[in-house]
Amino acid sequence: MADRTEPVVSTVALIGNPNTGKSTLFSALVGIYQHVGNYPGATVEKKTGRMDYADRRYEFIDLPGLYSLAARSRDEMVAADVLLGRREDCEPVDAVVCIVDAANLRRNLYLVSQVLELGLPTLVAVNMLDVAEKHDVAVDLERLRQQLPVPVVGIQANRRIGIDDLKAAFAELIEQPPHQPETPFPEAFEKEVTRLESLLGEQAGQAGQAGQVPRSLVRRLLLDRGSLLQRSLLEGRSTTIAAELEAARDRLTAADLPVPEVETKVRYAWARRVLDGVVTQPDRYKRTTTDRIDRVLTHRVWGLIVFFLLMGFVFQTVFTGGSHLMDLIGAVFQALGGLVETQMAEGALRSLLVDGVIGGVGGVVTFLPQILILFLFIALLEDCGYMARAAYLMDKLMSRVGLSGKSFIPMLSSFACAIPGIMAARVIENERDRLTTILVAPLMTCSARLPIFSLLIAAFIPAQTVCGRFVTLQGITLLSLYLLGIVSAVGVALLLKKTLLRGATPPFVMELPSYKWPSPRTVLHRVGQRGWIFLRTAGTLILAVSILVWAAIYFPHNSQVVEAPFRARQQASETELARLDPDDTRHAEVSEELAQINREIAGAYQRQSILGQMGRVIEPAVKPLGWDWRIGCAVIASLPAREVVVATLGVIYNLGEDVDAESEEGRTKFHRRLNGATWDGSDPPRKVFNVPVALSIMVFFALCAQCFATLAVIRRETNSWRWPAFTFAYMTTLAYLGALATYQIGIRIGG
Amino acid sequence: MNLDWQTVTALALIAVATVYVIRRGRRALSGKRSGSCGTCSQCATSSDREQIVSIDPSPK
Repeated sequence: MADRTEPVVSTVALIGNPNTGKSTLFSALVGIYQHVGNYPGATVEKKTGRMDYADRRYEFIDLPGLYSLAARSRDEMVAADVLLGRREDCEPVDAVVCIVDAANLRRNLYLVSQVLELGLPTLVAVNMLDVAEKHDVAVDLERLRQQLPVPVVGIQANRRIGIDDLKAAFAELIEQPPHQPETPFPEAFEKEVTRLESLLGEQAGQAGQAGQVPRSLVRRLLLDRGSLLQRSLLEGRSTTIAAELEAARDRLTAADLPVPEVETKVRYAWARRVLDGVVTQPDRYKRTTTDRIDRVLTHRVWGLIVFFLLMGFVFQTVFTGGSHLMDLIGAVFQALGGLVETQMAEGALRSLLVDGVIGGVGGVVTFLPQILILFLFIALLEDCGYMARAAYLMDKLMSRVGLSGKSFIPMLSSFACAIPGIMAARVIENERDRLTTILVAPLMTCSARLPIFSLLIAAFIPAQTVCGRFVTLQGITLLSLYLLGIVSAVGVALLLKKTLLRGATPPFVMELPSYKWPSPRTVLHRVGQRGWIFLRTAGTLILAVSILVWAAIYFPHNSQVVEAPFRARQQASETELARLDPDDTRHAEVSEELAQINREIAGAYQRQSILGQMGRVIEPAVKPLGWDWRIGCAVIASLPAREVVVATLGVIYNLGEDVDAESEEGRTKFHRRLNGATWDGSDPPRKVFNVPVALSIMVFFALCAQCFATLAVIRRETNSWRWPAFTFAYMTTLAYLGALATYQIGIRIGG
Repeated sequence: MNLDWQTVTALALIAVATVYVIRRGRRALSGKRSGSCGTCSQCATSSDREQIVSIDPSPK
């Protein structure tokens, strides 16, 4: 039997500033052998992958992009903890690769200097040499190798240049002993670190605690005043340590080495020394295409104009772009419903399949093309680098309400779904700002609202053009609903910052990545992923809720009780119709009488159903909004997830034959049913749906908190039921009042 | 209620749907997928997008 030895495994961490091509390098090294998981307690992904090279297996950990190991949030602590082997869910790191941007070496070396203090085998990969060349920045790699105490390899990860050299460098690096930790701090500072280190060690020994605190961590403790690290390291320890720590900081201040400022001075001075003779660049900064574009796109006036025009274009296209495909999908479901109706005898299961499943789920799946178009645009704008400019522009607006642009990025995520947006707020180190962002993120119009907006806009808002042939009233209505969410979020944030969550807002600095052509692979992958999620939700949660709503509006279905009052009239009409010749002038009249009786019977079934009886209870509350009990029930049924409302309306109105299904208004059968729906008992029949009612429903959904999953995540992120309860209460109140105002003003204007 | 085969089948489907919605609700509240609602993979986003935890390049 052959002796199969397992390859030796080495764990290598990839670290670097954002936008240095770290993820590109990661993909280049591991290819398809990558895995995405989660670090417990953090929102960042745990990205790992493996590569086999020269009889050794390398397990790579792609750490999140960061500028410094000085952790200010729980997510930033993850990277430092992984490097220091403080995470139980990660193997200790055997080596570190620092990826640096050749065009920004001075700033990138800040992080490198921190990594070198850890004493781990380290390699520096200088990436994006081609980009540096475009900026007329020349990097002397040979000189850099002489200046740094660790190996240096030049690469262009996006073109796979230098990857083989990098792999060979890994192999050598792993075999070498760790280098002596380098620190640029002066002796006086290091003395204080030594003092603290022994104090912590003594205390640990006395308390019977295992493990000395690593020196690099003690250094961070001294530098990061009031940080997460300080809180976690000093927890459970004697107050002597805290007092000694402050005394050490006071001594350093007296010695003109105040923390944390000393770190910036010292590390950038070190970077300057290392880069002496390494980088040659023109005295005058060379303007790039990115700079020229940014002159317009980040301009405080033109930038905002372009932003709103772009958003207008996006929403107009979302609305008009997918209409043919939507009609096709709708026709397929309609045909399917017709087929089931003809192939099955009348009964509960046939009604469930046709009115519940096909009527409910089909009504939602029809909106798949619009969802795909929306996410196509989001993916394109993110990938080309524009979204960072949007965050920069929003910073100016948001600072006026006490939030920074740092809050905009989580809020931007909320346009897809509020949940990742709320979790992304973990990067905001100011707790008040973080809580404010969490509380207003659900107001950003998420993709689940798009189906109900599209349905009602298509059915009730005229398709007339406004400016030229491209912009229609429908597109403007959709854009206005999205803007309503943003404006409401800003208003609520302002109120919160002036009342419950008062506090100063820290300044916001962010890096704008260079523009690039969006990667078709990346964009299509994201769009495809989102489409799959939408279909999966339709096939699971929406299907289940459609069945339950159908059951609530179908049962108890006692035909003997419900049909009894109509039986005599129905039989008389059927008898007369059978007697009449089709050409007889009375035939059409009697047919219509019979159809009316059948509609009344269907309406009677709905009224006696579980949902119908519940509807009677809530109708007084929703009538001021212009809603009848069916709309009220649909809104309540969508409490767990707002995308369910379209399916619920589909079920209710499919089952409700007391609508004029022959109404000419509306492009689809669903639209026609909504257009033909009348108030119970109204004589003459009064239509339920009109423009003010449609707008009031949309305004309600733009502002409401119909998503249990979002509330559950708010509970987890805030560790309390108080804040999700507060979110539900304020958003429901805002939604109700907004819908009320919309309807009441609408009927007064429209008559 | 007339318990023909269609009604019985419909009731069975209703029972399955009820159980599913309850379990889905419990999963959302417990957040089994470390912080997400468990509905989709949107929170653990695709691997081709770089994660950035520190968006302020100015050191403290």
